[in-house]
Amino acid sequence: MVKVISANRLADGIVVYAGRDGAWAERLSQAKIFASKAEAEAGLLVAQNDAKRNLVVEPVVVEVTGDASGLRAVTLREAIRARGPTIDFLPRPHAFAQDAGASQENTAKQTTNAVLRIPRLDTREREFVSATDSPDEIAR
Amino acid sequence: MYRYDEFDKSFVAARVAQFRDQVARRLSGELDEEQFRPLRLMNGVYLQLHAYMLRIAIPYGTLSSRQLRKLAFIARRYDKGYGHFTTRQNIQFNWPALKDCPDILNELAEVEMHAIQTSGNCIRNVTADQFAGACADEIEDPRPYAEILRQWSSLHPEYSFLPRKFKIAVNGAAKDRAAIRVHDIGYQIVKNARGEVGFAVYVGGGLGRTPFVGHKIRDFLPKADLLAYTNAILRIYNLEGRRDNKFKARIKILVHEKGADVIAAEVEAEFANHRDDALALPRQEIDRIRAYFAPPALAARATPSIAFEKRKANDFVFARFAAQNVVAHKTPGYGIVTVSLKPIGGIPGDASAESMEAIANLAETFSQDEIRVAHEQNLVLPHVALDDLPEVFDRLAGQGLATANTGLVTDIISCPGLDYCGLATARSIPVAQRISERFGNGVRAREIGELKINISGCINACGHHHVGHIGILGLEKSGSEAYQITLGGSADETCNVGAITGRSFSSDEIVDAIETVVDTYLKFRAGAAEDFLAAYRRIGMEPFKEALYGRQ
Repeated sequence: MVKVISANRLADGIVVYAGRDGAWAERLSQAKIFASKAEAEAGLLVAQNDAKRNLVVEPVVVEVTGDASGLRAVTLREAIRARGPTIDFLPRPHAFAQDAGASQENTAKQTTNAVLRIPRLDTREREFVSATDSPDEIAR
Repeated sequence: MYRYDEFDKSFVAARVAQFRDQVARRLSGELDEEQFRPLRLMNGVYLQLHAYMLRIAIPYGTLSSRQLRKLAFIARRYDKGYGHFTTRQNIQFNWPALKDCPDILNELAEVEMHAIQTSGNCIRNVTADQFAGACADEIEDPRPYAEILRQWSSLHPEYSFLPRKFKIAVNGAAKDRAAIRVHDIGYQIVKNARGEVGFAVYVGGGLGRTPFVGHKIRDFLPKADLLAYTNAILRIYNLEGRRDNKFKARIKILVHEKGADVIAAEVEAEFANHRDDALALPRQEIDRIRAYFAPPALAARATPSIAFEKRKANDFVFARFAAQNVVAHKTPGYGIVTVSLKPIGGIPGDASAESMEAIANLAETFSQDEIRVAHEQNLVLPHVALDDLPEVFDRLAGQGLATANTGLVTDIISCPGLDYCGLATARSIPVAQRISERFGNGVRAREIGELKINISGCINACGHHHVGHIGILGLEKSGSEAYQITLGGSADETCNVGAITGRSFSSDEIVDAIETVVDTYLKFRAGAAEDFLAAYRRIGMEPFKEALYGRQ
């Protein structure tokens, strides 16, 4: 298991990764890889300095796996942070314009699943941020 | 609708200027994150998984066309073209940049909107029945009282740092559409034996990790005492509510630990001691606020509406829409139209800028310029003449906004879940989408009848899963998503917290499990007139458990 460092950019909140060139990058594929815990901790100190310099917010170490096809976050939470929402969230005007029409009279689809499936996670490895650790109280 | 006076206007403008300065100081490094976080939260700005999130208050769920158009404008200009209506009648934008937030708040201030009281341990945005001022079964419009509470509570110095957040809801009809019994305080407008209108008071309701149904601590509170009594409750809570443990800090825990009778006695004593003139509401002040919410001057219409009846007789799809999404208005010849934000397979509560504009236009032309937000994450056109309903329906259908599923199995409440939220432990939206697709909106959905499915992506319960007829709670189990089912919850006047069926289901299993629950209901119900909740209350958990897990 290797590690990268991730944060949210201060000015717009977008997910970023500490990059190989020392800058913050928006893609996990551009992240600098830390092979050991000690290396990651040293990297985190540098990242925390960037937080103090008001470039990013809340840098953390994120565990990833890597192979020929690239890096992949281990936890679902980090996979979603890396790849964005797993839903087709951008509005498409009239996408459901048939709702009032007769097509709805068909009985329900049985198997449709338009959801982007994220591969099942490695259950031995968890990097999970619990509700108690979260600084923002998002619940309504 | 309430209109800002000079005080409101300068108050909100000053607040925007203050936040603009705070953001500039954060971006320049003068403030660090620890210093800035409480300031941004007081202005509705959270940091989620992918970006900042801005939650905007929609007091008692009432919007004008101009305000909804402004939300559409913000969605397009500062976000990704959509917004998410929440279970507390607010709207959230998921992608605003911090540096743009002062400009967004400035845009909002132009239409008398803001993001105050949408975060922090203060008295939050006061909610109300989405049909307020329009429905036939109403004793009195709850919104003037929600507005009075808003004016009193905004930045109240004594109540800006409570042990935890504090939510108040006001309902004006016998039917509870505001979920008042799962609020910290629920005010139910009632009429006493002398014919006077006042409030029954419920305290200590709430969802989250420890759900409780609120206790009635007073049968009748005169209108004049609304603030004095609210003040007494807040005083007791502020003094005695736990500050040592965030998870035990809500008033529901205090009420549970001390007992509703004890709290009621303490509140009554505090109320009696401080029922001073300063907080007594003068009759003329109540009347002044009520005047803002005076019913619109609706032109008399012939009943029955010929245009409406004719279309209903000739168009099955229209007839279904009328039956499912339109309820009686207090004025004959008019209806209240729910615009479903739950298209089959869609994202519950999300609305594109185009949809918002289309609905704003319809409200302007056909609904006295008014829109409501329902806590079920739908929008409402509250004052539509039945003569106009065919045209309203056609225009909604043209925008894909005529899904006739209000109250049906696909009218699912869902929080944003792990697709957006930093607190979530599992995704909610994809589960809602798959359930919606599974049941569709055809014969089968109608056969199932009224059924509320509520989904939360963590124990904080923003998706109100405890009070869904079927509730789904997303958890994380050994690194994977797992979903727990509860049955028999209800958020209305028969409020009840659902019971857990048993072990949780994987993401792959959950939709089949829900279908099993629904099929079990269909098998055991006494007839089509017995809805899911009634059947569950009659037959209990066992048949569902057996269907889900086999004989134990």
